[in-house]
Amino acid sequence: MNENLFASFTTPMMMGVPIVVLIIIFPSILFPSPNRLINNRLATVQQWLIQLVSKYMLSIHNYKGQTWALMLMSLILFIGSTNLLGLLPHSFTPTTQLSMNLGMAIPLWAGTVVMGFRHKTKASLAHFLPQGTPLPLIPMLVIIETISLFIQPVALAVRLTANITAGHLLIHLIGGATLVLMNINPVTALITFIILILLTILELAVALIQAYVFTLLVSLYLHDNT
Amino acid sequence: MEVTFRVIGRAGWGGLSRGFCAEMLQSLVKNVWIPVKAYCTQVYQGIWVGMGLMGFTIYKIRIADKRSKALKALSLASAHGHH
Repeated sequence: MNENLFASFTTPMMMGVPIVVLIIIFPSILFPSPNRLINNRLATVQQWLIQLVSKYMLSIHNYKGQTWALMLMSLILFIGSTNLLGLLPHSFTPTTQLSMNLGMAIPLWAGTVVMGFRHKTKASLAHFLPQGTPLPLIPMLVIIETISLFIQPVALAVRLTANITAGHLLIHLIGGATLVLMNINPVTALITFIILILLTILELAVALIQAYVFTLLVSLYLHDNT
Repeated sequence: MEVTFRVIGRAGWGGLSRGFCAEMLQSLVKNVWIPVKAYCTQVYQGIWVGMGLMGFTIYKIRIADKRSKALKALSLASAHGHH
């Protein structure tokens, strides 16, 4: 039972060949590049959604921050589509792997920090000490702010991993419980099945929200540094 | 999708001629690299630094893991050897 629970999180292999790269690349074929003035319905809906999200996400940024528009939109599309595809039964979700999420979080966070230190060195250093701090607390607060800065990429990655993994585990557990209860007590199995449906709806929302939160936090770190 | 000039070569391994590879490369450069060149070279410099930092961290962790495994194997072998 224990091994079955975590079996869906092992990197998938096909005849000894790891196919995880194919699975990561797969969502990109669901977003065709619009190459006409008036596209088909799918491309038009996707274009409209991307314009809506980018309008709200990039409104807080100045000129320098808006150069990251491509990166931020790609990020939210990738994480959102990967999370949603992971809700299909028996599929592998790359964003359940901490390695993948750290691989996204660390370079993006480092990119914002390096940008901040290059273009606004004094303001970036000033972030280590909040305004109005009493004099005796300054050394301790500088240490705390430094730690909180270095924890940002780890928190980004672990938040996404934990949310998606926990959701998938819960669905697996409750689905297993429903199956087992069907022979024992059909009424309880029905209640468990209703809980499973509600949980799946919640996981749909969590998949989109986590993509939005990840991208929003990267956008906020960028805003602080530009 | 047009290519500015064609390179004709002999058929290579598995039907992938040198000409075909060169055409693919030209198309890749024209349609992918040139649109993102400004981003990759100027905007995302910090991201490359972050990727280097991450690669260095991964390298250090893997080396440490290899060393600890080798040490463990050595200590196990010496323990068996004593018995």
